[in-house]
Amino acid sequence: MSTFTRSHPDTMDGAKRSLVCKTGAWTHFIGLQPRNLDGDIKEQAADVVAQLEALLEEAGLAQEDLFTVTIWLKDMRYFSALNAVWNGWVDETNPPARTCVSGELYRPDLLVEVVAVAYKTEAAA
Amino acid sequence: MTIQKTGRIDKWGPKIFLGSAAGDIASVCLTAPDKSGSFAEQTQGIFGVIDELLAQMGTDRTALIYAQVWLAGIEHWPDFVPLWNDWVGTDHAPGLSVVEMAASRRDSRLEIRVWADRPAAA
Repeated sequence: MSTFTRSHPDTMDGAKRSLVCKTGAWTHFIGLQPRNLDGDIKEQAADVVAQLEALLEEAGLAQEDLFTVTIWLKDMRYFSALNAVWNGWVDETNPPARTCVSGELYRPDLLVEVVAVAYKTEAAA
Repeated sequence: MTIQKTGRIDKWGPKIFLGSAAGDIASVCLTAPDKSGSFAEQTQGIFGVIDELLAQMGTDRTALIYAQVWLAGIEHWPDFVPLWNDWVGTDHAPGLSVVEMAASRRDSRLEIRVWADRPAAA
């Protein structure tokens, strides 16, 4: 029997959601967004990375446990600046697998949103 | 390990299955079954197919991990919110991520992929 939990409840313009869902060895961090939208892309991206780091740690996980990271970027004009933040965060010998696609997000001043999936078996813990 | 698939589409467009499941994970992705409908009708049509296919794969919406929603027009986001809240119910909601995209057809308002835990198969 797999364990299934949802945690870190949040709302997005009233839409109910959970930021973290765990099933078996898989932990999903869904729709992480910067807490302050008054920052530029580097500030917004750095805040999302900080949240992901904190949520990973709370779940007993680390960057090396990331299976995929999907980044939704409001506009590809932010791509290089996003990568500067990314490259400053990742382990350069073992960076996560990543997807980055551009699309308008739910608020016009929201520049970046992240979905990350981690995998770690209990036995390896 | 075998992959279970359901919801075969081959009347038009790509030859695909809408749903697939392996081990303790099931996933479904689709656009509206009837694209003549309003945004709300298309959303509810998609939710209905998700419910049906998850059931065929041994799970249901109470075990949703998350939904990735792509809207053809982000201006429909406020219309999506109450439909989503009604569908996911009152307990802890699953994860949700929403992004605007270019749809394959001008009458297609949204596409949704969901991932669900499948306790019965674990």
